[in-house]
Amino acid sequence: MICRREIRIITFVFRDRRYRPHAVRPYAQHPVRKQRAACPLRCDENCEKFGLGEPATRRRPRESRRLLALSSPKSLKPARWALLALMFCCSLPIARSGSAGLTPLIATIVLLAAAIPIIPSEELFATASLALPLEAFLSLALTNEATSRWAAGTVYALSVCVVVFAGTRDGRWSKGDAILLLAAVAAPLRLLPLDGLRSLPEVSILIGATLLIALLPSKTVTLEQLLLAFIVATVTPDFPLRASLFPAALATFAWLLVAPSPFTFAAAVLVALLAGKWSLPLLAVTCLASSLRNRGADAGGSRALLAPFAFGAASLARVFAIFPDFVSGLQSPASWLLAFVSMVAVLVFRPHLSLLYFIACAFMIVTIGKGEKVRVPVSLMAISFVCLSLTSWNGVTRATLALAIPSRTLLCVAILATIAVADAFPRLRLIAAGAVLMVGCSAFGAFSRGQSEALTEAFGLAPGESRSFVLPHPVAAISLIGSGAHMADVPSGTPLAEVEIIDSQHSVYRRQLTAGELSDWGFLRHDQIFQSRNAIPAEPSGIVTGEAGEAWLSGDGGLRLRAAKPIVGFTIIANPKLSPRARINFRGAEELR
Amino acid sequence: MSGTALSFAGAVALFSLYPATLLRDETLRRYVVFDLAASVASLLFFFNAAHFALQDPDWWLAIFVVAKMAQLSIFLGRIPVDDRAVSPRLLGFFATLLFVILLPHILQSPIDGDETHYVLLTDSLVRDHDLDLRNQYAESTRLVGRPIEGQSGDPIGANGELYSRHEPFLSILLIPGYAALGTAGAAATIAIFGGLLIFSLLSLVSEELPDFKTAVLLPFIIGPPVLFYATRIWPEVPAAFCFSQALRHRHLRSPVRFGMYLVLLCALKLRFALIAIPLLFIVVALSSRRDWKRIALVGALLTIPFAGLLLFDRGVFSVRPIDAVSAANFASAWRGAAGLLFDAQAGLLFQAPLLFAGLILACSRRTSQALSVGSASAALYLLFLIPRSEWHGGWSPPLRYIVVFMPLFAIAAAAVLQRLRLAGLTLFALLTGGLAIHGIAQPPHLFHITNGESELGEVLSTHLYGDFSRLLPSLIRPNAAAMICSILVVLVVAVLIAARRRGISPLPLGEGGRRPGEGVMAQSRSFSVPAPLLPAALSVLLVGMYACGSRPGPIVQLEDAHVQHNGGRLYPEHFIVARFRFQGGWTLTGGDQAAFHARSGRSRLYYFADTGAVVAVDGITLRLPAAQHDKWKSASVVLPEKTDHLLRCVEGEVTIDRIEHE
Repeated sequence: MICRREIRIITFVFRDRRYRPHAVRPYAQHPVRKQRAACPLRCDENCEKFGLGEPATRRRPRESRRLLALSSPKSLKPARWALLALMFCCSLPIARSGSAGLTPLIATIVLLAAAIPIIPSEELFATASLALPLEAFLSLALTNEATSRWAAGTVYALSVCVVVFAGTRDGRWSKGDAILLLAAVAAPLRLLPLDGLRSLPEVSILIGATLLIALLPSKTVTLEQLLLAFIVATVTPDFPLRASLFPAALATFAWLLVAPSPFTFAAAVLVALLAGKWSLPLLAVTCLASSLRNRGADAGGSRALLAPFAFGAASLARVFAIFPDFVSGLQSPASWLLAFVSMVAVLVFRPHLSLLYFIACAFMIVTIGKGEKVRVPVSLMAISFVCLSLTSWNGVTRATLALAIPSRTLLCVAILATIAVADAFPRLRLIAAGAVLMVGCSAFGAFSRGQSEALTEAFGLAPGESRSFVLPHPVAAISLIGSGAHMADVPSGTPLAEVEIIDSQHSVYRRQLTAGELSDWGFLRHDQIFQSRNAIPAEPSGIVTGEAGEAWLSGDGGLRLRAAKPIVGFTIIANPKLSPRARINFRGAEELR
Repeated sequence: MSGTALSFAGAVALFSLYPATLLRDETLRRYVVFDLAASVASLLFFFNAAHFALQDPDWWLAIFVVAKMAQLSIFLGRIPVDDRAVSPRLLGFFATLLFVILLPHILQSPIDGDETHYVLLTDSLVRDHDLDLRNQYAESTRLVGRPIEGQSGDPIGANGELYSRHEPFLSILLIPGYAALGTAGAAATIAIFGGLLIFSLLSLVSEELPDFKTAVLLPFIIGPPVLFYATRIWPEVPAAFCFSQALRHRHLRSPVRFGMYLVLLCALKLRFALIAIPLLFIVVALSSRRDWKRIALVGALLTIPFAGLLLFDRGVFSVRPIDAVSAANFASAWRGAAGLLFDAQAGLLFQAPLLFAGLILACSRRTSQALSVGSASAALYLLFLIPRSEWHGGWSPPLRYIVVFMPLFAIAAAAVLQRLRLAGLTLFALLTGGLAIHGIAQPPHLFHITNGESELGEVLSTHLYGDFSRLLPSLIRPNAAAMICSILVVLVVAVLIAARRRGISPLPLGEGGRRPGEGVMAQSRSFSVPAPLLPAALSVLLVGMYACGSRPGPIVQLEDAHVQHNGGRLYPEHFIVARFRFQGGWTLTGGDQAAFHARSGRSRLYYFADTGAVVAVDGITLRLPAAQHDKWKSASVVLPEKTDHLLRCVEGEVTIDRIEHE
């Protein structure tokens, strides 16, 4: 209920066609206000309720207006540009001599430049800008190069979070802002370093990612769509060339899904033919779902049918707990079985593509899930955050994110996610999650690698060759770290060598070393990953070569050797049936503590 | 399972389970989702990324705890002020659990400093039922992990009994814990006091600033320095708890409790009487309502025992008998006061930045009565503390002697948080989080040799091969940065006081702390710095420091981290008692070398050499005449036109303090 005095204010404001803060000034001097009680007219609330502009109580005081000139609308953008240029000039020399490299700094600068027109609040812009001095400081203070890069990447990821959430209006973004944000985040990740840049696939990926947003039917973009576009732009491989059409293909498929017509169908088919046979299953799923929607099938039915065809993405979605309302439609044992079988099929036969299929399926569900309440996409945020925090090695992320998640981690995630999507009892869920995590952490205590001591020098073996070593002192367990050469075409599980372990009582234990425990040194390079039959080693040594988009993970793996009594020596005999050019190279044996 | 893994598992359980008691409904559901995501991400990193990024699990534990604390704080910040579910009692219990959980990790490093003596004293009380520590010293390797001897100034009994100069009250408090679990139990007792302190601080702040969300303050007061002392066996945290409780009971609604806390405060350390006696006087004076006769009588009654104690033993309130108050003069007072404020290793600005900001803001406005009363009662203690050469706390974690003032800092910090906007809050949160990570990950590094360098300066100097320590203010070995900081702080305080007199508030109330209807009144005359200037200023400061640090400075201290030593040893030795009282240097014997960056041209080399020595600076031989032990002399040396220099001892033994450009 509005009292008479308030009506007078509103009349005055409407007559004047603009908000006059001094119109409410008399009430600011109301005796009750002087007693620090709430204004009886609640003028703050009413000003906001009737859209009358900034309430008087939030008006800048006269003294602070001069100092806050930088935040006035007219001077806002030039001042921010000037400050950004100043910060860049200051941070550049530090980053050049620091250990974090230039990639996070440049990515942050590009992000902040894009944020200038997007973020209206000076506070949020300043908060995001803190990333620059912080990155510079971390690159100076952290001595370990990998740590420094990871820390700078994490700061960059946090600044992306600030910018993304600062630019939102009611949880949605305008298409223009979303495209600008996407371009600002994706461009540095795709285009750095400029040396050796393969411009055609990278530009194709960027354009495709932009189309993902541009072709959406609504005028605004949701957080799920924005994050998925980020992820698509980040993880799409640039080799072979046709793989770079993944974002464009996904955009046209989504377009076909929301606006089916002969034209969109033709466009989707054309892009799928260009992209290669990997895109045909996705096209088939899209066409099926689209036709079901056209025939008036309810949304739940179309999604239930979509899931199993999407190569087990539903199971992955269940695992990652993104769309509980989506998977709740898959209660029948048959659909679950089908989903499980197809997921296993993907993981077994096309493991390199499972992540891409998963992302594609998620994007389609988000696209057709208009108006439905989707749970907070925590896993999407987590994946985006991880991708962004690994900015300095985004080549590794791009090539190996799907492969780098070992089964035990997936198992942990699956258990936790299953607990998280349980229907009720949040406190019980917390207790269960805590218990599971405690078990996990205990396992961490058991499995974590301590400081190691080198026991042997580096050595290499040709097929049929053998080497014997006597350890300087008996040890409980050792780790052999090595990789293969000319072995990219060896399938996972192939015997590579036999290890004979001799303990202090001269008992001999034999153990086979197979492909998968260690792999070809360079099979994860961008130009080789899709041609190789290797898998990421069970215990990767994690040696990363190169920076930013050029980075790749080596195929080094660790092999744990244990015996009932302390080990005093071991012999390795390379498999004589390997290709004559193949070599197994060991960096040496280390003591496991 | 290692202590770190145990702490990690405990931290996971704590941050997963305890929020169920603090958060509700939608906030709890969101927290659960974020918590699971964060835990999964942590596990993923533990299992995979640890191989290549950080092989040290200590750092992961520290990052995990701080990140989870930040996450919980964000969710707690969303709870309305009037939601009583988040009571100080619950938060205090949470803090207790957190401190206890961190103990297995912290105690992996051996206890150090005075901790060992408190443990030996407790052991003597538990096993021998006396205070004679002779057999404890004999068994100290078994009891505390290394051989311990009596400290200088320890009383000796008539029959040769060796007593400790530390007050036994803390050891009495530790008896149940120690009897049950040994050293870990003693540390757990202090952790419980840490939780009580957090409860008391939050209660005090909520009483003084009723419109403030006390949960926002939690991550800042749970961090440094409380975090470092609540997981170690020092009397500082129990003393801060007693002081805080005494302030809460200053209205004398329960005079017995007020008196009890003052007595306990004095019993923990006699030097705390310098706080307790003025506090008693002020509280009685305030309650007397201008009854001057009564006030004078109480003042006289309190002065008599105080003066008697001082006359009986002038060093009774000092930390060490060798560190008499008579050494006080303006220079030492300046060093102490400025050092406590902004010394890079032992000052508030670098070790607890939000508390520093609170202190500065407290100069410009009256925040609460408790702060005024507490500050007045702290004055005498500070007057005794700052002229001492051991103002920094000696061999202890930073801010040792002012942890007891946490109640005052907490109120002042709350006043700052009330006024901070997002950018400032983020900056302080990052700084506090970084310090907490460092302290949790590397507990032994909190004990720093008092040579004028700081942990930060050493890391930068070692990493970047430049003298970055000289850019960080040091009052242990006063440098130009300390002078500049002193001038700046004086200017800022003067401006704030002038602004206060003109009725201008330095910072307007933030949205979070705005009371109903207070917006217009509070913001009528105020000023604040535009937020975008903050990161720009930090960038400029950083690049300025980097540019200066990369160039050689006018003075090269031979024992500093940026000097690359090839042979030789530190002078005086690392663990010498009261090392800060000595002029430090680096001792070189025949063949030892030291490489450093220095300005070219004529310089003076400060040294002592009992029998004389011959050194070569960049190949130019220099014969140094004999100078008696610890009687420093100087010799002129010309450094060639380059920045990298090599000093080699050719013959004899020489201890070099510094090379100073003329």
